[in-house]
Amino acid sequence: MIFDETSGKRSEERLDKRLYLVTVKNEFMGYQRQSGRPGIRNYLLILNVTGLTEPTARRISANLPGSIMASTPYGMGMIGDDAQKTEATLSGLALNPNVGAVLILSADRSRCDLIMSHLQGCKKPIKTIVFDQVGHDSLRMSDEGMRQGAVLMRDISRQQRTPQPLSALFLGFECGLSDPTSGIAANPLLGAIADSLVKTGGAMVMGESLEWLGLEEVLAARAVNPQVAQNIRDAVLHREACAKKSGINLLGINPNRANIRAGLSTIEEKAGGSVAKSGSSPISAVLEYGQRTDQPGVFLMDAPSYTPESLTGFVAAGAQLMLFTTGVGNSYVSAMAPTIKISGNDLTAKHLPQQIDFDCSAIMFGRDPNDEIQRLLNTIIEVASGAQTFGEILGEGSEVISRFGPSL
Amino acid sequence: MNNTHSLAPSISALMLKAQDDVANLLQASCTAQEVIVTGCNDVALALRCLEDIPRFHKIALRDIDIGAAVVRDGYPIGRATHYIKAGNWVHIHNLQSSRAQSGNSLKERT
Repeated sequence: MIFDETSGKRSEERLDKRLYLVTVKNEFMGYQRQSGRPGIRNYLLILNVTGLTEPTARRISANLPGSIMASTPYGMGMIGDDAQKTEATLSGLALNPNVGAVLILSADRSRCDLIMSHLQGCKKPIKTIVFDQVGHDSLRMSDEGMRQGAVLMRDISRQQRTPQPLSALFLGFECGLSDPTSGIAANPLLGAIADSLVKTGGAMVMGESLEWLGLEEVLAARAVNPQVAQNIRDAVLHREACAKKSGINLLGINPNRANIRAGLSTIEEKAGGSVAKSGSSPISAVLEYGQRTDQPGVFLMDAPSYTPESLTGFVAAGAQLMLFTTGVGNSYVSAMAPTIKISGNDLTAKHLPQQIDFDCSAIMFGRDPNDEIQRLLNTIIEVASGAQTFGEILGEGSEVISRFGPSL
Repeated sequence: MNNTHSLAPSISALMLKAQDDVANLLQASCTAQEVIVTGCNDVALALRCLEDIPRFHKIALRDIDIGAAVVRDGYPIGRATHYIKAGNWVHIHNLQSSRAQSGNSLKERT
């Protein structure tokens, strides 16, 4: 068994034995689902679909340690694209493989039914509680939610991890507070992982479409067909036009002040480092924000660059695990998908020893990247099999759905 | 920082592609310090730093005309807003994005 409950503390000897085992096996221990990819965690998701019930959802989740809450602060009055993408994201979160069971909370039955309509065919246990059925009493909803949630948690806790092929992984790739080491060491390392994973039939997604700027033709050349190539160009042009229309000069906004202090001068320079994450394999499609996919391959998500909403888009797409590079340091992680924090900056890794899970700074000083690829793959297998990331241990995670338009 | 030029040891910089105009320093450098640039096809070149440059920031490998594209990792990362000499620090004071800007003189696309 490669999963070690005490892995928050790292004994090199124990780590080496475990790594040897998984390197030979080339698989991880995950939760088989009745359909789709296996989970690497087995959470009860408290899915709050209306703003009115959010405090209740928070109370229920706080009283069910180990459960995860994802929530929208809105609900009524959402229209058009905003309503459609929010629904798709909420249901995508429920369908994520790391979720073993779902408890949906809603102020009204119609909103709850709408989300449920997206979850037809989903085999995992789902319970719903709406204000209508508890006399609009938030304390009764809390009581009922804790009771139903407790039963769901006990049921899913009986599930056992079983061996799963690496190709069952869908990774989300993110960078936050980059510096020049991100583009030189950490992101190319992720690119190598992407190529290796996709070759075996796995999947990865990269977002932050503004940060493809200047590299859109490089990405378009990797598209599987001309339509996908055009979607890549359109996504960048759309973001660039948004910035221009708002009268924003990207210089000083992206790269931001921390990026600039660290040595990144322009969006083109930052983008070059950023897209290196996606490797060199063919790009299968450009996904909309939160759009689900069960397919293997490299996916780009046309999405905002800010980390919280970006990561939630990946979780809704179905990613079980995040690889997150940082130059300066960035504490934020996904709540639902374990997030491995990676830095190519030796000083950052030294200053943030309980934030950076993987220090790849040796690449900056001449280490063969191939050695680091194997070491990172081993860490991925370890975390996919249950080893905790610092972000999980410290509770740095949340889920934040992006905004898409005006509401009534 | 030690400014006694002859005593300061040389420091390293990484050039990512052979056609690059800039390289990233692996340590902070002082004025007149020698910089050994490696990372590309085992070709090493040496130059003098013209000013103090922070760690991981960019040093110009050749003279760059005002308005010229600045190439790093094989592609343009913006344009020079001043004349840049080999050995100068290249950053936002003399390099600007060519994209997504409003209200400045460098609007044209590369």
